[in-house]
Amino acid sequence: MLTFAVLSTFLLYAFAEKSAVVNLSDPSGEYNVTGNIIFTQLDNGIVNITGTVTGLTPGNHGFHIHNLGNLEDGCTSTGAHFNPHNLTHGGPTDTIRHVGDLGNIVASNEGVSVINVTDNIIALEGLHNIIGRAVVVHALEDDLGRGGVPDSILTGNAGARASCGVIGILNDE
Amino acid sequence: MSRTKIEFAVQMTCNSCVEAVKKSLENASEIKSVDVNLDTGSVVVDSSLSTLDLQKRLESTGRKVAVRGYAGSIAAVSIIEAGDKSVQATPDVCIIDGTVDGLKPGPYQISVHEAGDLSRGCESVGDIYHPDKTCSQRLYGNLGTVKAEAGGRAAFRLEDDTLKLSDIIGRSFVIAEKPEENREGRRLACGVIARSAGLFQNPKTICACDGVTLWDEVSKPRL
Ligand SMILES: [Cu+2]
Ligand SMILES: [Zn+2]
Repeated sequence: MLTFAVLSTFLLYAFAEKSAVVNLSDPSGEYNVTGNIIFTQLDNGIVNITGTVTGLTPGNHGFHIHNLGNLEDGCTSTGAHFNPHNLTHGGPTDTIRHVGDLGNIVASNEGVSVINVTDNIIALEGLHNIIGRAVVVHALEDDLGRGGVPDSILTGNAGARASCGVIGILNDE
Repeated sequence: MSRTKIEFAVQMTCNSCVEAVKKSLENASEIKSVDVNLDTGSVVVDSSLSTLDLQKRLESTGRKVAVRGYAGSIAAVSIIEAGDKSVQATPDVCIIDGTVDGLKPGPYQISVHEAGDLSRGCESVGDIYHPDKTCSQRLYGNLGTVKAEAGGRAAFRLEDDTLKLSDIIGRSFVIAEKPEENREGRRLACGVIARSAGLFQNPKTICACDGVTLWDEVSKPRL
């Protein structure tokens, strides 16, 4: 069983086209949310998202790709959700969504979120390329566009930006 | 020197402000044109001066000033310590315009490294970027040397016709001690090269996220 797990991990990397990484921090110093997340685009275009975020309040937290990677004014200068098709905000499984809408991550009672999901909309190349943009983790839950307040269809009403980082190239063999 | 267009947001309320802003940019042969729009609070300067020089001139009028965008199909920024900016202004020339504070006076090496991975700080960004296919004579990512002055600040504006911004987004920018013999100098600071707003792509003055105005953001102390 152990051998199998190690082998499959090896294969995953061997066939991966491209990987990216983001190191999350809180420039404001108010939330102290940090983390490290790896994006791996497979041959079939699906992107694996794995990593850990710590320092969160227990429960759901909005998790998005924002348009810019500019951290000149902390997480606020990363702009709006990455939205090349000019659609309204949604959840990751909705057909109408921002490319950057990855929904929520869930933190344990200890404030730790272990992420292991896939997405077939974001990409590490082409029109949906997230490299050079930012990952933002919010203080509150993303209502996936269903909250009924004006901000729901714009941002998911997920509150302040608790942590962010620029998505960088990990390898591009 | 090639010129670049940089758009600033300047807090202006009346026509006399416009005059004061224009005056602050007079008497510099490096400035080709200045476009002031009172309604949008936008000042576009076409010049060969660094962002820092222009910002200082504008701030001398006693107004709050923020960079809003850079001309070019894409613009990028890399924040390292006090903030360094890298900008592509024309399709042929990459203009690297930046400021780094907190250095000991002396020369430093600046370069683009292959990865944008800060998991282990500047140690995990890989080697100086040099794609296999390049026909460049030099090490592709080697941008040369900059000098920190007595106050510990290195302000620079380099032009580079080898580097293409689209090749370096998501990689990293590193400032290091000067290399000795064939040994790489110690890496002092680094940042991932990120996408930033181009000219007129950043019209808003209020951030939708938390209702904080651009001016509140500028006033916030930077950590
Ligand atoms: Cu967000
Ligand atoms: Zn969204």
